[in-house]
Formats: sequence, structure tokens, C-alpha cells
Amino acid sequence: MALPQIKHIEPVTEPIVDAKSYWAMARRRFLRHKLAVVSLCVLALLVLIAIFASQLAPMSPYISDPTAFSAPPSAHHLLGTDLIGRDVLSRLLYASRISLSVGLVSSSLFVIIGTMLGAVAGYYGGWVDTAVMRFTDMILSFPVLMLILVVVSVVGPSLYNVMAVIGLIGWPGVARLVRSSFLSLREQDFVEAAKASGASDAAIMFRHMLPNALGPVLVAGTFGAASAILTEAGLSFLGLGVQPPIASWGNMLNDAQSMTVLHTMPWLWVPPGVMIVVAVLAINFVGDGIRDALDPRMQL
Amino acid sequence: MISYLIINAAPGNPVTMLLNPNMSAGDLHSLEVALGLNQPVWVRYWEWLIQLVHGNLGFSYVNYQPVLARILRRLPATAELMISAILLSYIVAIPIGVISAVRQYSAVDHVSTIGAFLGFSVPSFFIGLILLYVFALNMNVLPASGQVTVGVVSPSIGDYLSHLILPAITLALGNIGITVRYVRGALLDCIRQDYVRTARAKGLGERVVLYKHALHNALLPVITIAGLQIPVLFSGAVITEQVFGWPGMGQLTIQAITQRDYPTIMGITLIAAVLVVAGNLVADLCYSLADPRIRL
Repeated sequence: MALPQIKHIEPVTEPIVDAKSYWAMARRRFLRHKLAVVSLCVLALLVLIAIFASQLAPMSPYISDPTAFSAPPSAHHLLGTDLIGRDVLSRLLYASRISLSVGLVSSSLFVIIGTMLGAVAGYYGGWVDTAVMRFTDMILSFPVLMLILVVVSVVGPSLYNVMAVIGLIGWPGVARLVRSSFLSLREQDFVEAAKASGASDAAIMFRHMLPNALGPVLVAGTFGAASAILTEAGLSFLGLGVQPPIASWGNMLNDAQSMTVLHTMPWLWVPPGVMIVVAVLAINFVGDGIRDALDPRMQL
Repeated sequence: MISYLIINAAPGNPVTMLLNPNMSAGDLHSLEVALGLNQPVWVRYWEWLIQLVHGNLGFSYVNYQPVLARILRRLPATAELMISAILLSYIVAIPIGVISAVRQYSAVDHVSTIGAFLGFSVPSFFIGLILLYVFALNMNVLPASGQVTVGVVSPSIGDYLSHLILPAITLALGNIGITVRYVRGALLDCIRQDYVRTARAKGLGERVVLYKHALHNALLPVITIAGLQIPVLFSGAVITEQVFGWPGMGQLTIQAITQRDYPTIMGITLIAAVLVVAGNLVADLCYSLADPRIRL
């Protein structure tokens, strides 16, 4: 049987080698996630509102208007006034500062604590690991909100205490994540090499290993910021979070615990609720986008 | 397992440590002596621990009732609320998760994804307030607060249920969002596995493959998640009970905190932790029942 004659050889087109770095590829994948990109824009807008709240607000959020107590929305007060005559729109804008900064500060705090503890536990292993993880399990076995409520009631409710308490109690999830990736990283050659070249434990942990475990931490931090905002709102709603006259989205909803307010003055509680939903939803979508971008195989 | 229980039951400790120094500040000295508060922290903690072993959680600072009795009186209401929320969330979430996975990237999937994110992004008190506003205040179809109608001596089941609907939905919603995502993810993982391809290759119908082969395995991790959700539900119950005036442990917590009733607060945290651990244990047991590969 005659072999078919080869007329011409198709020039093999080299597949375009994607020589981009891990982070550049992640950015490209993130930009494909439309919902996440839109959410990022929304989030940026919220941050701008928070920064420029004092320029944007039509009037002071603390001074009450003696001519308008519990007034419905009007041309003068676009979103009406609250029970003691303060402008709801202005309070809403100022509140975005409080709520977003709680999210940022608390989540940074617990990412740092969780990373340190997780890194130490995963790197050293043995009894250090056991001790840290038992402590983590202990914290995890309490309903978080109850624990936060108890601690806040002891240290006293205030903006900084709320930030600190949420940050100090929220770290177990991050610690578990970092520990598990450190456990597998520890066995890899580059760690061996770093050890052989005489690097200190701290240098190995934080300069060599941590950058390889950063992806999941970033994702956990983003989702953590969203849950910190929710927790602050919940605490303030119960009257045990940020205290008036400082406005936060949560404590603006506190008035709505009264049935009269709930029924007859929706302008008092609908706008802050919507703001919480928008902010938390945007952050969660961004987190989802980052997760897809960093590791497409990861599921929720 | 038992040692795990003990380890987890112990940390009333840090809470006690935190609680006590603040306590003595405001109260009268005589009251302090009566309640034993003039003694050092560790003495009180030790005594509390000894009493705990005897099943005594101490007495409320406010009305001198035993803490355990106060909590046990509130426990059934919270249990009723949490169990109905859990049932509701699985009844709703599993079918949605399955449909969402089977038609991955379809319109249904996108809607359910966005819905799921909404579910865990909307604060429970906001949902609660909206439900109250719409169904209780404007449409007047469901009662706004309480567990039964006030003043009714022997309330009917219908009365119980109508009071239960709104709080249960409120509490379930966040859980539904998370469960939908997990079911979807787990089922997608299973569908791509070899044994599912084998089942299809044998010529089994899509239905049998999906429900008998894939779903059974996909629901295994969901059991674990159910266990992990219990503390979250507890936190949610605190807020939900406050919104709906539900006479459960969550409301008791808020009361105790505003009244600075530390023995009650400690008792509640301890009982809550024990319940969480018990819930995890039950989840583990269910897991081993559902998955014969796991032996205790």
C-alpha cells in the first residue's frame, strides 16, 4: 500500500505562549468576571462617597432642624429627617465612612492575626500546631455574634471597641486557611533551600512561604470585610455597636425597632438597609471575582 | 469526642476573666459581699467551675432565679425557631442548588447565583423589618411578634405556625444562600467524576444518574456544612428574636447584657457552646451513616 504523499507540511503555528505572571493572569481573569468588575466600580463609588461625605452632605448630620421632626422626604430634606430632626441623607453619607472603615480595619486586623497564628502553627507543627488549633476550635465553637456581644458589653460599646472586637474574634477562619497551605508548603524544595542557606525561621515564613499562600488569604479577607460590615450593622442595630450621635448604617436602623417608625416612617430605615445590602453585596461579588481569578478550581 | 467536648466546654474561662473586673465597679459593697464578688477573680471562677460540675450555673444577679432554669425555659422557643429555619433552608436550597448545577451557566443558574449572594449579603434584621412591614403591618396577614397570640390560653397549631413563618424565613435566608452555593459546587464536582460517566455509559437514564449516583455523594459535604452552620444560626437567632419579639435565648442574651447580669450571660454562652458542639457531633454521626466509608 502506497503511502500517501505528503504534499506540503502545514506550518505549525506556535501557540501564543502566555508569558504573563500569575498576578497578571489573575487580573485578566478577574476582568472577565463582569459582576465583579461592576461591583468593584460600585465599591469605588462608595469609597469616594465616604471620603467626600463632608462635601457631599447637604447639611450637618448632627444638627437637628427644629422645624422638621420625623419629616417625610421633601425638597429641603431629600430623604426626610429622623426622630430628632437630623437630615437622613447627610447621616447616610457620613455613616458610609463608619461602616466602610469598620469593614477595612476589622478585616485587616483579623487577617494579620490569623496569618501570624496560622503561619506559626503550620510551620512549626507539633505541639505548637496542636495548641493553636485547639484554641481556634474553641473560638469557633461559640456563636460569633454572642461572643462579640458579650465582649462589647464588657469593654463598652464604641466605634473603636467594635472594630477591635470584631477584628480580635474573626481570625480563626484565616488561621485555618494559612495553616493548611503552610503545612503543604513546608514540604517543598524551596523551603528546604532557604533553610540550607541559613535563613531565619521568620524570614522563611514571611518572605518565602507567605507570598505563596497569599491568594486564599486575600479572598478570605475580602469576604471577611463584608461580614465585618454586617456584624457592625447587627451590633449597632441592637444598640450595642457604634453609639449615636455618630451615624452608622446599623444604628440608623435601630429606630425601626419601634413598630410606629417601621410602619409610618419607611424613609428612616429603608435607605440605610439598602446601603448595607449594596456595600456587602459589592464586596462579596468582588471576593468571588478574586477567588475565580486566583484559582478557577476553587468552589465556594 | 468526649475530650473535645470538655476542651470546648471549658472556655467560659476567658469570658469570666473579662467579665468580672468590670462588675464590681458599679455595685453596692453589700451586694458584692452577698454575691461573693469581693473575692478575687480566680476564687470566683474556681467556685463557678466547681458548681458547674455539679450542674449549677449560678443565680441571676437580677431576679435571683437559677440561671439554668431561666435558660431551659427559653431553649424550646429558640430550638423551634432554629429547627424550622434549618428544615426550611434545606427544602428550598437543595432543589435550587441542583437545578443550578444541572443547568450550569444558564439563566436559572445566574439568577440563583445572584439570589444566593443576596441571601447572605442582606442583614437578617433588614429582611426581618421588610417582612414585618409588608406582611404584618401593611397586609395584616401575619402576626408581628411573639410566639403565640398574647392572652390566648391554649393556642391552636395554626396560631403557632402563623407566628413562626416570618422569623423562620428571616433566619433561613442567609443559610439558604450559602447552602445553594455548596450544593451547586458539590454536585458540579460529582458530575465530572468517572463513576458518573460509567453510570451514563451503562445507559442509565439521566434522572437515575443524577439523583441516585451524583446527588447522593454531593450531599455528603453539605452535612458537614450543616454542622458548621449551627453557630451562625445562633448568631442570627439573637437578631431575629429581637426583631420579632421571639421569647427565646437570643432575647434573653440581649436582656442579660443590658442588665449586666453576668451569671446569665456566662450560662448562655456556655450552653450555646455545648449545643454547637453537640450539633457538630450529630452532623458527624449523620455523616458516618450517610457515608459507609467513614467509620467512627
